[in-house]
Amino acid sequence: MKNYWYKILSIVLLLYAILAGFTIQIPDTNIGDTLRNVFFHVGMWFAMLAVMTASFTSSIKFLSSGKMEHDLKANEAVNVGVYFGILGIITGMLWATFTWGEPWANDPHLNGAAVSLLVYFAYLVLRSAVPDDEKRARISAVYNIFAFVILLVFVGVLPRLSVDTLHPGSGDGNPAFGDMDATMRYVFYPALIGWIMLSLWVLNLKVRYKRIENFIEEKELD
Amino acid sequence: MEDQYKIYVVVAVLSVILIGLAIYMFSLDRKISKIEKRIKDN
Repeated sequence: MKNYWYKILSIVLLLYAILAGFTIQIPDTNIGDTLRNVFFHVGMWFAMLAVMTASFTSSIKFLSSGKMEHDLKANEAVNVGVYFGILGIITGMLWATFTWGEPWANDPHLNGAAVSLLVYFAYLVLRSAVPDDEKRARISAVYNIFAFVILLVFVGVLPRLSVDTLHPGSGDGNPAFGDMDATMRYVFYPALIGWIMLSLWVLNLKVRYKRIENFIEEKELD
Repeated sequence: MEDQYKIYVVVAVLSVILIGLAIYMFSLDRKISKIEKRIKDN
């Protein structure tokens, strides 16, 4: 029962995000109550960033130590991260349909997110293409480091430099924070932490599941 | 019920779903812990 604190914290914070997120007064904007999506949609991307950071550090750890344990974690983190990324894209498209009038506005923020996801799809394809365990771990770890840099550039840097965009957050700092209302921040930041903790929890479960699976497969080979 | 309070119905439903999911994930977590323990003991 060790390390349960962040799992409990994630549920408490997400519960708070639901309770407060739907009931607090939000500023009167032209997108109305859909503004409340910010507590949930943005959380998907922060969850993805958190597990991709975990994946990136695991890949570096693998390259410096050669322990397969780190490769397993890097791989599972990409799996979980891609999942949250797809959720982020779907929720974003749903939101955009009702605020911008179309699901895909060819906005730099959207395209950047799509490109980053494709880069991580390529990571998963690359892994399945190399049969040798040791070699696969090494090649994919190197690729993963590049992938993370591309993610940071396409999600964190380029969209903010763009002028022609509908998505909030150009020139005024972070795409998520922008010029948010002060009361909304009381819900927004806890919600983000809640989503990040939840993604780390899912990652934790997947890594442990994979470890057990590997253990059983080794037994079967003996 | 007044209109302005109806949103609390949605809040209640979502809270039930989240708590339900949390219970499910905690039970999964415990099950994995048990198998880990069995592997360790053998």
